[in-house]
Amino acid sequence: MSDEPQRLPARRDVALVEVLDRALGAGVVITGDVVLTLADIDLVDLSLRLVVGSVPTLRGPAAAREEPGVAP
Amino acid sequence: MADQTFAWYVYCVVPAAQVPPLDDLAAVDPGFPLESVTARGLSAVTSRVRVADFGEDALRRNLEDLAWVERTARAHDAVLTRTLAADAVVPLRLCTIFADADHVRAMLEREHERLHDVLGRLRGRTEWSVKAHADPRRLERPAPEPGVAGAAPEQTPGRAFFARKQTDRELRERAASLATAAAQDIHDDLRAQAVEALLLAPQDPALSGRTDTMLLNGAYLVERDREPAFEAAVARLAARHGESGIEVDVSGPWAPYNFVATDEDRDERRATAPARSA
Repeated sequence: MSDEPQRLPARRDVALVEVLDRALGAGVVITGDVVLTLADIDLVDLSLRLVVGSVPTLRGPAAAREEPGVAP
Repeated sequence: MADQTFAWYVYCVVPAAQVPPLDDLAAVDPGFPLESVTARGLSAVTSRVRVADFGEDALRRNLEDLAWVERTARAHDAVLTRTLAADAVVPLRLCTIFADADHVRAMLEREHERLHDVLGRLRGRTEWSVKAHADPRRLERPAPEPGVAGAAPEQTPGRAFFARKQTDRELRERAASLATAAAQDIHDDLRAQAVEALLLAPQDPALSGRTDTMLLNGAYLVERDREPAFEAAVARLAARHGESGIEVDVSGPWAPYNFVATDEDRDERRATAPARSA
């Protein structure tokens, strides 16, 4: 370990939706060597669709849009 | 995987020899320690999991259980947050499972170029989340100047009704354009403070528990030494838009979950959208 002080992020009590938005909706998807990724699981029938509804990136490309819009 | 008892869960990849101390953190299965698997100058942060919990059928079942999902996602994120102490980290998607450590090593061997590329691009940078919300009723509140709201008292009830409908429609339209302009203003300002910026889909109110409207769900990749300036910019924007009833919130630093795509990935995405999973 180095001597320089580690900067520990001061992040607490983050809402679940924040964590799921990132852990489920983003991050590298590895396809080779892997036995299982969430991308292999058809989530259409799962109640987790509630989550996936807000994170359409789960099985496809990033849900990035060019310009902000207003949610319905 | 049927005849196997254990599998390897991989959280993220960091430059070799930069794995921070992880002894005090709980793994996704708290019965096993976090350990790293190293190859090609890269360390994967892993922990053992039981196939009985993380095998395909089990995972399908467990994903139905929001409490299980929450526990797992929070453990996953806690490991990633800790690895922000390294120069850079490449987060993997929740529940990326390998048969054994050899397969993790094989993945590092096979993907090392891409992973080194991404680590290089993410070095010294963290992800920040900024959201803007507004209560539509507050945005639609009539402007203070006279003449916009309310019908004149001498109108007949019928006329007053149509005048009110007209006014309501104008107020709704005004609210929508106010909201769009505010979201654009916030995003443009923060994009200028960031290395990269992305607009994410608005979060589901059923999960966030919010009754107001999400105008902006932005993700920003920020240089570590620019973090104070970024937070100051958010505070300034929150003050500017607070008067019109728009709430601006920031959270971070996050591991750069939303900024792991290489240029190559992006080109491919543009070419093949949307049925791609890598």
